[in-house]
Amino acid sequence: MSQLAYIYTDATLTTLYDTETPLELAAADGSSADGVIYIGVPTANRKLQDATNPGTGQIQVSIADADGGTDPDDTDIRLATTSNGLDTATGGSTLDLGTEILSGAGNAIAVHMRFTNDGFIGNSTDISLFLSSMIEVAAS
Amino acid sequence: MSITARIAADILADPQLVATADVGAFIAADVLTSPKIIAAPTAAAQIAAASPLINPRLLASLESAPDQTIPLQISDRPTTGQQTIPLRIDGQRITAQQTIPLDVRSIVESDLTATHLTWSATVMLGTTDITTSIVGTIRIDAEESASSICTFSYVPPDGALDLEDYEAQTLTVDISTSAWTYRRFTGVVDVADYSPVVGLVTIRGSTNLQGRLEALDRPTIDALIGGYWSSAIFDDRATGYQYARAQISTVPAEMHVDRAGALRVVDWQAKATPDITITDATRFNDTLSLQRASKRDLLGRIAVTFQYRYPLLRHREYRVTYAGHSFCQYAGFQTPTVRDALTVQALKTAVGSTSWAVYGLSYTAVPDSGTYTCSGIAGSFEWTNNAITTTPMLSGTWTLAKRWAQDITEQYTMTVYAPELEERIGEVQRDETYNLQVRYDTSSFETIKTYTGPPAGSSKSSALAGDYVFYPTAGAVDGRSAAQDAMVVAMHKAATELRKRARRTSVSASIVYRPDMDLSKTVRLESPGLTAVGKVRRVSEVMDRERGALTMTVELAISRRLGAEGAGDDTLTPPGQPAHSSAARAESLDFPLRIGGLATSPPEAASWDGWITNRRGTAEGPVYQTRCSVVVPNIPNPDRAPATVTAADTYAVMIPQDILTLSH
Repeated sequence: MSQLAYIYTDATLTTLYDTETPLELAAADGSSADGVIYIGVPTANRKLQDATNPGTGQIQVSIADADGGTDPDDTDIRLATTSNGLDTATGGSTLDLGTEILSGAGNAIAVHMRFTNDGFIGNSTDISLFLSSMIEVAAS
Repeated sequence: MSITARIAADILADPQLVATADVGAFIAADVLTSPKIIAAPTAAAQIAAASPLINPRLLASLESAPDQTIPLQISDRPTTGQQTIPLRIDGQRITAQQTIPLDVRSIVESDLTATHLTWSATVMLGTTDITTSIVGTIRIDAEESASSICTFSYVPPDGALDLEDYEAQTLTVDISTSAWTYRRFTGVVDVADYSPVVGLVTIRGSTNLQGRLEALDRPTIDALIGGYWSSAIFDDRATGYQYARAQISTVPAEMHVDRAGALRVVDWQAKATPDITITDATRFNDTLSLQRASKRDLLGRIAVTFQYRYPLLRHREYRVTYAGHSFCQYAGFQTPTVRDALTVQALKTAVGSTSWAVYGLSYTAVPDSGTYTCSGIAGSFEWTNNAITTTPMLSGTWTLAKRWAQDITEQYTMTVYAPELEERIGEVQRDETYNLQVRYDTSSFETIKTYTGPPAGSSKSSALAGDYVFYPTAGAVDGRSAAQDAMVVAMHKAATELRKRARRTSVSASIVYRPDMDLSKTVRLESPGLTAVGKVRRVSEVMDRERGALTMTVELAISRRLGAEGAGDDTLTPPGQPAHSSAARAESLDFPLRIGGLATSPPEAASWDGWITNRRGTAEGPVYQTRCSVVVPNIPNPDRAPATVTAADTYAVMIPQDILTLSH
């Protein structure tokens, strides 16, 4: 079990994302599959900020394609902070989560993603998301 | 050095002091004679404590010594005890960029739905793989807004068996083929039973939806469900699970723990594009069934009655004018003469015997002793004001006021209805009633009469007979804002109930096993005679390891509006506050002067109000009993009695229409 910090599989921020059981996005050719993860900090009176420019820099989620160009590629993945936002999101685009994420499940940011299968057959672990470096500080 | 120590040191330095009979005198002379020694008995006790060797006579001498004061040298080096200096350490945790791996896979229908799958299940109990010990079938049942259940039997390890050790252990079930692996169940052992006859442990695993929700606080549940809640509609003592149930009853969605063990809230609404389409109708066999909602199941409208009760605090004033009489009448030089003048004290006493208050008194007092003139007489006259303890007045004005609380009930009727359903089923209505009562103790408001004006925060209402009114409806729990929130919650709850009943039509079928099937999916079932699209309401699957068979049954919830599509949902905004009014009234009164003993004086009546007195001199008519009679105004019953004011509105909600086509 290898859990990622601040990344949860549920909106209640109780189950950390385990890299050994990655989120499944299974779609038949020509269709799409949605998934969602949550970025947040359950500890009270804390907040997350971008580590490079705390308070001003955007916390970002980007899409990485280890074997760029081979299906599935990064443009097959759309990101949005709402489910409806996936309809208008651009494949492969980085998603801004804001300059800070306050603690508590209510303040967690949902990262919705949609995999659109345009001809890929098989299983792939080439696609992953990058969550930018963050700093957890007191919410003061 | 302390006082005790200095005295003890002096005494103990001379061994003779301990034995001599004159120690007390010595101490008294040498140490304690200082006029500044205080509390010698206290010093004696301290010395005794400091050294048990001191002669008791010394102590006796000290105890008998007069109170004196010992001069002290105050050190300029104060010492303090250990002090704690609090620090606030704000830890910072920096995480490097994290990589979130995704399992992106294509669904190849032929892989998933192959006629003959070579599959294997993996069952993990805690950290132990017990797959090979499982006997018979593994059954998993998932249903909307309920815990998923997994049951199977297995051969336990040899040796002592403690069934309680199993319980609460994590339990996962995965299914794999050469092409894929899918998690089918993540939960905990709910109960483990043992059959000593066959030697098998039967495990019942649960996703423990209730327990998961019980552990959550309200803000977390709010974030998870995003529903509506009010303590006027639901039980404020609700635990986490009850709170979540209340929340989910206000939104068209269900909640469950998914295959991976995460809490999920999924909209009832079927997706425009189904996640899974099943067309292999030949494999439905005889299991494809349609179960339509009966008229008994459907509901066309819910009339929500919400009563908001509060005490309306009313303050009614009358400005009273006492025209009275002239000084010359009172002095006896002008007719009709007046023998006695109304006094401030008599007025206040008379009002004090009622439930009203008097304030704002302004009057013309009977003048002080002196020389005065009156028209109609020659010259002046000497006047002696004999009033010592009273304040007689010739005329005056004052405010007569009363406060009371009127119980108001604002009754709102909000009819939430589904016009599309009613088109076919008629007006099938259910009534729901809720209420919210403002907690406010009105006793002091109604009984204390020491006020000198309208209540703070009140305002004069022309609609309410010119009374000053105050609404105690600012409370966070029982205020008007809370009442409006409660009405919104009640309407959403009603709208959700209509939609819930409208999706009671079910289509179910035993399908070719789909490892990706779960409650979040929208499924399209196609057969020659029936096509249906709906959200999965129930999934049951059986993995029979001995026979190598996988079976799965799905039930789809089909929402049907029955009638023609409506124009859209109405916004669920409560009706405006209903008006409350009182009949207009005069806001001023006259306080009459009634003079008896005149030829024209009418017979006295007990019901009279005013200042009642007689003429000076010989009576020519009925003589009255001198008194100040305050007859307070009547408060009309509609202004006092509990009142109900009403407001009503109707709200249309649209019912989603899922695909359900039949052909014969």
